[in-house]
Amino acid sequence: MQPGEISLAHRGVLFLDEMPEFRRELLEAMRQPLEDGCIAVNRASGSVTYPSRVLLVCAANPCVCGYYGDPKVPCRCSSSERRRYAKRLSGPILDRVDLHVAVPRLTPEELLSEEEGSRENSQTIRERILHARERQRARWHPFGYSCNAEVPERLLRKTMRLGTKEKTFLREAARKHVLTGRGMTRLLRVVRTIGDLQGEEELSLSMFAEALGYRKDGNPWMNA
Amino acid sequence: MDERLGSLLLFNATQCMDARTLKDFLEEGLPPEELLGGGEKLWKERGLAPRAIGFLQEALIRKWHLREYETCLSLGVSLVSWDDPEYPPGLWDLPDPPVLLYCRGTFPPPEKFSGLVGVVGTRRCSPYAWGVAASLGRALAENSWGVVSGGALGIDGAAHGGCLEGEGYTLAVFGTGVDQVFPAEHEELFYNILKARGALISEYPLGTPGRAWRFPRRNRIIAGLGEKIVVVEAPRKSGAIITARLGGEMGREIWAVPGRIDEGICAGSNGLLAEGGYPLVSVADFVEILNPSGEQKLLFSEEGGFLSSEGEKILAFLRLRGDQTVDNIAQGVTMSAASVTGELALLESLDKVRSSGPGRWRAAL
Repeated sequence: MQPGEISLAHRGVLFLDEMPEFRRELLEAMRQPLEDGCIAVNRASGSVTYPSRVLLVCAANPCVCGYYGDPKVPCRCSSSERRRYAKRLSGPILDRVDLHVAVPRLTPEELLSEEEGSRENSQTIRERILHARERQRARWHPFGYSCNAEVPERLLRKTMRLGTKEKTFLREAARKHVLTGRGMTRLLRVVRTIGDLQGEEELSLSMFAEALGYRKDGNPWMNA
Repeated sequence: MDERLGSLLLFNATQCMDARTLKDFLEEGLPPEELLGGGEKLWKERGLAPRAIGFLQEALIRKWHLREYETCLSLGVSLVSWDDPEYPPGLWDLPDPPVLLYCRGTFPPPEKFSGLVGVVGTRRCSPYAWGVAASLGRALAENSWGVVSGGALGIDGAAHGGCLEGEGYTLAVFGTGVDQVFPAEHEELFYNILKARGALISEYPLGTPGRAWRFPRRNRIIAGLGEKIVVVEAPRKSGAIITARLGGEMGREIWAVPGRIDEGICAGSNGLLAEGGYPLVSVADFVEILNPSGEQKLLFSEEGGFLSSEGEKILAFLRLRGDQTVDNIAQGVTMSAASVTGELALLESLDKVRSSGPGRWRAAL
């Protein structure tokens, strides 16, 4: 019995390019292994459990023609086509994606206006990530975990003391952005990670705001 | 049901009779019920089309009007005919005012609303125009103006939705029967319009399905009901342009939102500007013109609880530079893209910015 891609990517990155082109059942079948970190494969010859703790990275186009929201080229899809395309990714799957980043196509002027050398190089980013990882390991080691993603929700909440301002903000966010219970926990993990990346133990409102900015929340332009 | 209403239901359903003709007949001493009772000879004499005569003969045998009236009662659909005091006076500006309107919800609009503005445009609109239509609907609502539109996808839906957000009165004029849900995607919107004491109206009999040729005809009702017409985005060949032309012929002010000149999708609305339409370059100014008393509510209060100095900086940058990507904002205000993302989420929760497309942001209007 061969392990599948999700197990082969254990402790690494699983990248799904053109995510909406995958079969729906296949994507839905990933929900459990993503949540549990392991996958049970049952066949006639017996059953095996493989590990599946992966960093999932996915890419998708905004619509079939790929031009929706483009500042120059008009989209050729009808609104029902766009809706159908967006619906290939179910809510529960999108809910399990912590960071949603929309990548706009840049106009030539915008491409040219990017100043050289103003961007961070990968080396600096790598060091920051390693530091953040180290912080997480140090914090969770006594409890037997190594990173923010693994820590059970109860423990996470207990160690994250929220001020009144942050609590109000979360309540408002949950109301406005329709956060699910799982979404809220995932948001907290992202906030903790942003704090670790900045080398801050104390969590600030701006970290909550940033984490919320990465959550997918039915952008108004998707309804058009 | 009295005979008058029955005859109006029937004449309306022929779709080749208008209120003006019936009014002229009445002034000559021929009320609609007598015209109906006159039979084929009188109908021919009065110039009814053969198609209409055929319909009337068959409908009278089937007692179509009685059943139609009963269905209206059971569905809670009210009828407003041309001889009712509630019949909107604006419709008399049309060359062919509808004989009657089937209405669900609150119609005519409650008096606390200053009037209706027609907000129209293409179904396949750009995200930018969608945002403009929604902001406009909301701003009108917050300044006690109602929005009349066609209940279609795209601009229509955005304008209705924006108006509901601002807790205003919105009216959708259907090109189908008022008992139909067309397009199906707007079932929830129509439900919300009724819940918010708005209205769905149509001149078409119950059960009339969606057909392309009915929609341009329906547009004249939007033009008649709107005191001003705003075309947010429309290509040259578009129902919205028909609405604007009809409105212009009736002396309504025609406004259009300027669009890019290299895109067909706004060639029609830009064309209106070239022909002398008013350019809508600021929602706030437009609303100010509607309510010159200066008593209108601010669109949003400037002292938002979470607005930081960084947020102010981003907002000022977006107001100056228009549509921008996160990276460009970060560069423009010298912040990291990560903190810009956070500030944008805060600003969005205060309705100060909105996403204008994947990864793009602009200041709210």
